[in-house]
Amino acid sequence: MSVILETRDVSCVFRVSGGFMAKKRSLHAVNGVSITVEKGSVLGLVGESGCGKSTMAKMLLGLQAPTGGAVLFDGEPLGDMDRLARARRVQPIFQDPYSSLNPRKSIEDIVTLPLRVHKVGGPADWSARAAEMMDLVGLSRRYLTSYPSQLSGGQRQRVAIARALAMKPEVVICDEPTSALDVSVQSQILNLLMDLRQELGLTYVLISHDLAVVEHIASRVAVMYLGRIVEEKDTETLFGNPQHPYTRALLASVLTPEPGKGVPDAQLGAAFPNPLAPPPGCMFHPRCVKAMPHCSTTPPQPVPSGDGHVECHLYAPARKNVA
Amino acid sequence: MADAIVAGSALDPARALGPSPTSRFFRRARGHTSIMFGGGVLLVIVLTALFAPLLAPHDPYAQDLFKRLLPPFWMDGSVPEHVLGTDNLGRDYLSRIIYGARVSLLIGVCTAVISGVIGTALGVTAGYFGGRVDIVITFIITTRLSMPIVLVALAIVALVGGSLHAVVLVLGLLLWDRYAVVMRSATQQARSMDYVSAARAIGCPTWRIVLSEIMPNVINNLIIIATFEVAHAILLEASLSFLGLGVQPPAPSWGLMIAEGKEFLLFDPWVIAIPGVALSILVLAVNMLGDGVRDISAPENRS
Amino acid sequence: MSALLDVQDLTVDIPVSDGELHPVRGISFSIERGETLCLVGESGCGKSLTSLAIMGLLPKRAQRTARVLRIGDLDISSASSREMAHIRGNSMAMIFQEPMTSLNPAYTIGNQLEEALIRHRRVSRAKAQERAVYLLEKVGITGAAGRLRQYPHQLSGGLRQRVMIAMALMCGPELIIADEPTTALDVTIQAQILLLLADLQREFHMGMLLITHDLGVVARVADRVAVMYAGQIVEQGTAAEVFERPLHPYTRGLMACIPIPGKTVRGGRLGSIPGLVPSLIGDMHGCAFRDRCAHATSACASYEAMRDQGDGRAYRCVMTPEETMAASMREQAA
Repeated sequence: MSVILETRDVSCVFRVSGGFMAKKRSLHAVNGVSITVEKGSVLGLVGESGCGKSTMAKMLLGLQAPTGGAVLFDGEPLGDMDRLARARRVQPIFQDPYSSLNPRKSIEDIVTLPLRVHKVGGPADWSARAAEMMDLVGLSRRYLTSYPSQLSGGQRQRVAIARALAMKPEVVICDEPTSALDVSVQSQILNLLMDLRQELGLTYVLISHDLAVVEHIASRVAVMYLGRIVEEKDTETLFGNPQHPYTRALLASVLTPEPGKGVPDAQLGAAFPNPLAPPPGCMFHPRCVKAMPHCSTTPPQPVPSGDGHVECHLYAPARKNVA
Repeated sequence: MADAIVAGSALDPARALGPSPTSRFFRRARGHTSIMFGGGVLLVIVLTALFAPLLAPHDPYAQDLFKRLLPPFWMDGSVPEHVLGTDNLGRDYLSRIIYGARVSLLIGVCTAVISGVIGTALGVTAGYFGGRVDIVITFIITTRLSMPIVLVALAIVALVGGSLHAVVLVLGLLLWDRYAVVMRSATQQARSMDYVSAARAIGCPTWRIVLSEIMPNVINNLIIIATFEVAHAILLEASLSFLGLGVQPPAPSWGLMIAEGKEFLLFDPWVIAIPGVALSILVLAVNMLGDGVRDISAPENRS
Repeated sequence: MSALLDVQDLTVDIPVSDGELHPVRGISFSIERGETLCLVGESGCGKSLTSLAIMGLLPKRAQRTARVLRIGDLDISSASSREMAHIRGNSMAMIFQEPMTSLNPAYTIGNQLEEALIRHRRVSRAKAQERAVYLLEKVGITGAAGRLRQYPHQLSGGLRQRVMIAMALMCGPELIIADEPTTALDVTIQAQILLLLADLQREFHMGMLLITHDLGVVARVADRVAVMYAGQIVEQGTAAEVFERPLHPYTRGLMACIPIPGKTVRGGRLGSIPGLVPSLIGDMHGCAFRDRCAHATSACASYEAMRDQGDGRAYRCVMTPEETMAASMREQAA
């Protein structure tokens, strides 16, 4: 299995003004992240607000230049590719079906935009391809002449998928593709995404806060917290035996539709980290039940675990502590 | 595909589709009083101006010193061939009003076009690129806003000499601020939408994103501002002409007619009243049209 | 002992340009003190409008009718707007989804909390402040006295939602209506807020109407569940009953859509419900779900009644319990 997408110690630091006269501060949205994605697999990127997953998505798409490190596509740095070459290889599907389609364009215009920008074939080809794409995503061809405001959320998301696949990309970055949809529509879109992946040999990076969905679709999962990956390995192992205390708290907080189990208490405390002033040492230590004295002074290093890694002093090789 | 739509069922698009955005817009337009009234009146004025040579009973420049200051038809002493009376040089007032519409509309539209182009270019650029570009352009806008336009216009026209072209140029180069401000915020809003990110991810070049993706979504704002600015320009021209620094006599400009009539205010108030009313009706119609367009396009912006 | 909240045949009609919209069509349920009823459904089912109808916060054009609409001893259905203003915040309080838009960004937290009490009871500002601090601590906010002077934008989403809860409790209401209280929050914060609500409910012996689209929340939090579809309640019962033995095809369809780690086959196809919700404009008759139901027959076009199974268990389907369980088997085999 070859690595199709990889990031090497990639970072993205934003300068944020503190106020009228205050000095500018640094926001480390993404702080030295290294991941590899194998061709044909699905990487699930999970984390809560402020963890940096949206910024990661933008960097993987080439929409945001990293301030450090590199994003590599088949070994080639994304920053070196011209925008058309990059667009042919990686495409997005966004969360909000209401803002991801231009309300003033017809569905046909939206779906064929990639073809027109890349100057693939002529108008006759474009119409044919548009019809093909509609069939592929399960939408009637009659919708080609409609406008987004006439379609439901699920239908719009299908159009977004058709647009993303028009140029046959290799990697699709799905940024919360079903969060804004109703439950009964979510499953349709997820089924569609899974079918298309099989059919077209796609690779997905699935960014989601819905852990049940990630567990269902992803082959590998990476958990992000305040710009760093705290744990990353194959799905079964991560869900079966989560090591990092944050991963455990996250998984414990998932509310599955099983009655009688009550609401779990992940014991995280009410403190919420400020991304502009992250805690020293391990960034998770103020909320960690297993925090040790040196967690507040020394940042943990990634430790190999399973086929991935975990970043926590509990598993550091010098100490024999078992969680 | 197991989830595909079956024709004829409850899922059939022919049944599920609502009206398209364009047909919805026009349907709402027809039902809206402001638009119908404002638009209707404006249409009448535009047609009058277009067909002025056919509609005007007399030559607006023809003087007849024996028929000075004849009153309009609703007063005693009026004459049937001069329905709205004559001015102090014996020129037919109705014809001058009709031809005056041309001046007002011409100035309004030309000024709107010039200032619209300048303001939109500046506003869209600032809104799309943000950062330093935005800081510079905002500074330019602020500078312009701190200038008292009427005084500046007066000064320039006094230097250059009053004429139709001077007025259009001066006003066009000064009245772009509202366009810039509104287009800037409208562009910023559109810029934050995911369809712009999608276009960038597709590899769309910047010029294409601005013209093809963003412009159609901000054009509504442009139209609304344009209608108000047309009214603004018309009134400013009237003021400039009134002060003798706009259109020069003997051209029939409503502002000029008001100026020429001010000496007769006490005894023949209709000399000022008639062009004054005409000006008010035009400006009111334009404003109502703008109001109406803004009303009906507002709900469309919500999905 | 009569129920705390009693709603019978609640209907909301709204005139629109194309005709008349019927977003809520004959809803009936009741809530006891100390009980949590979850109203669950997808977008457009009418659950939010139901809560607004109970609170008397519907838009002017909307028309509300109900056979019974009562909280405690107060009859809401015929209450004037002034009486409703007195009841709101006092006997019933509402918690909304977006804490940033429900808290006024121009006023301090303390101001808003105190106002909630001062408007309803004639207490001094000092007393109101005392209660505000007490409740902020109850909802788990540390340094409560200092927080009073803070503005909403200085707090995180989870903290703001806690402030909303404290605000709802200022007058000691008997019923809390929470409309998607945790949808906008992170997963870990969601669990904390739900635990908090459950604790407070127990301590103050309040009834709670929780409106959500998230079946996970419903299963873990609800005592009783009412599933809504196209303006009607299509199934209700205790959480255990509805989740373990769903009697309505829509309920079963919804549950089949959700992957459960450890239970659903990883990578397998998820269940789905084909089609779209029918239009709620104009005359509606028969089962609203029939166009999307795999078991629909011609009888469905004229059947609309609830089948009462006793003890609050009911569902709205032409199939008898035996028929619907057989249908459920067929669905699972497919």
